Amino acid sequence: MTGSAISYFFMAWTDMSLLFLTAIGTFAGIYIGAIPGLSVTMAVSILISFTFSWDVNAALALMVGVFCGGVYGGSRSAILLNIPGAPASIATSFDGFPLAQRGEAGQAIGISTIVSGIGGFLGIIVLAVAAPTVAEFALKFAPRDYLLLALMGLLLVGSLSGESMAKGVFAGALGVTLGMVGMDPMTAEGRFTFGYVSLLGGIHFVVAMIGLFGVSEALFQLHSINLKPVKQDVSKIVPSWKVILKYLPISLRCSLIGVIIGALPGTGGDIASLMAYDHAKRTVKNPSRPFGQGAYEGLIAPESANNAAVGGAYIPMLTLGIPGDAVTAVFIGALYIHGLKPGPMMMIDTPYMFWFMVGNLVLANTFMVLFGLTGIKIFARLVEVKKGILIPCIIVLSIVGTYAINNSMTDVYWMLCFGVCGYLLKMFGYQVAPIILGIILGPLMDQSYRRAIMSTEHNFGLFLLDLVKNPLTCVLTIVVLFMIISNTRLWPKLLGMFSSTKRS
Amino acid sequence: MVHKNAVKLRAGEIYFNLLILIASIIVLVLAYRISGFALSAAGTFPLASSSVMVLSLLMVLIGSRKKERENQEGFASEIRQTIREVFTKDFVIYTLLLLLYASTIEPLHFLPTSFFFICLSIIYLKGSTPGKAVIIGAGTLACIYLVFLYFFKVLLP
Repeated sequence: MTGSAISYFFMAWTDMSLLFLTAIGTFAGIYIGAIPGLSVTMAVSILISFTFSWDVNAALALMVGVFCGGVYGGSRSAILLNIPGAPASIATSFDGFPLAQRGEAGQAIGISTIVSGIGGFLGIIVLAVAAPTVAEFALKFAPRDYLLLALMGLLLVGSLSGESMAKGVFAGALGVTLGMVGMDPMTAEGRFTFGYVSLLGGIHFVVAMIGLFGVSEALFQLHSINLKPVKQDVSKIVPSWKVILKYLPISLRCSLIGVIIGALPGTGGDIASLMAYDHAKRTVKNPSRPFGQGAYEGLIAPESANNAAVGGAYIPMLTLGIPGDAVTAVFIGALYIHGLKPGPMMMIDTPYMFWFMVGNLVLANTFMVLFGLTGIKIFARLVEVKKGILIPCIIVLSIVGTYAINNSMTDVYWMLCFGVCGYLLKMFGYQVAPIILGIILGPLMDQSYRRAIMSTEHNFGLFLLDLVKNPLTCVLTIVVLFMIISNTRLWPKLLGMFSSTKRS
Repeated sequence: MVHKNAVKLRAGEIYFNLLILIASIIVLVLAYRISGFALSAAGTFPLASSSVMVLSLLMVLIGSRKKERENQEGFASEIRQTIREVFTKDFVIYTLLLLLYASTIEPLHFLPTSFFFICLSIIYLKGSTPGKAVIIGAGTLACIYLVFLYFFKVLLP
């Protein structure tokens, strides 16, 4: 880390306006994450359109704050109301709410804040250490490797985020197809434009994001409009050192799981927290109480993991330009809008941006712990805002945000259309996150594939050979094939065959 | 309606899947018309992605044959249940209100339309009493107007 890197690391700490923006972002993020019906992805998508005209550092400071605060904030409503504020907090409610029912909500919030901070810092440390190495390694990646990595991300998010892999794959492919709308960047040919000039520019991904995460979620919430929250008593919050030290080992273990899952392209805090919960359930022999009935271990595991996944998700985003989860997909969009191109070259051309983001993450995490341990009494009231008030506010913000992108009402109509379609898809068991990942990854996959084919002089046989010839590409190909096969009916048969040969 | 582990088929799920399958086939044809079966052209990837859409939906449909239907009383009854559960009264009325709001923003300006939209929504969704709805509507709009025009510096519709 050179002198200039250090100065960029501390930039957000020393510049008062950036410090203020990070603080505001984190504070707002905690509330956004906690209020059921508002999600981090929704907030960050809408924020991109509002921070268009800003300086990149200021825009990132605000968004990083919202991201960090939001991932943590979701746990509060999971504990207090048994309604996870964000998908990353689903596992938190398994033991968090039973703790609140026992009157230990304050203690649970306090511990979840501390372990979220531990997880967050561990994630950032891994990001700072691993990203430069990964970026250097990523320079060796050929277009075909990017194609395989993007495919891996889509398959992962498709297979893990919904009730069936086929539905997840459909959502991902739909996103890729939507990402193809507009002018082909290589031949300037129109794709799915139906002769309309206005479609040549493509569908702006922020429009799709706001529609799918904002309006569709608001429409979905209409089904639970009359859900009444249970009032909670929150008094003792800050946990003792003894308690923290007791749970430190499991927190560190689950943070590590969080970073690894977060770093995989396509998977984020939601999957990380569920896997960490499962790990805790399997490995902790004598939990403080049985799991599901208020075990502190069951609260600590997902909370450490989902915040650690933030740092992890930054690794593929900054080094490969491939989003680690839905929020980082939105972040990639924000970086593009501000003229930065996430990928290995970003670490070489603009290393200061990397250190600025790492420093900013540390700051946001510090604010998260500070704000997390204060003001819980007011907070307990605020999370009970009625959905009847919240839904119209989400809609108005979504419309203002969409209009701000191009100052065009056509975008607003597109956004509403995405909102209604997203609602219908959700109602029939399709997830919307793979669609967004597809929109972001589609053009990258298209160009990577065509570059790879070009390098083999349009020989498909050679292209296939390339997929197994190079050791790195071969590993990626095997992973992609494994992911496909393990989700088909062939897999149990193969396993059966393997075990019978072993026995004989 | 929202199943954690959808063991049974939701009412209308098969018809919805069939509808999006038809839409996906149309997309596949459109993708084919971009540059046909070319190894590397503008239409190659759209063709690949739309083929995956069609194939995955076929797999969803094949998989759903084994699942038990939530509604087994015939087509008409299933459609009625779908309308009751998916196209709920709240959803239809609110979507219409949303469309009315979006289409009147340009001719009537953002502030008055948004004010009426927020007030009507809060009253309809029983978020608050009509009196409080007016206060909340005015307060929210004042915040949006000041924050977005001066803090975010964006143009309002």
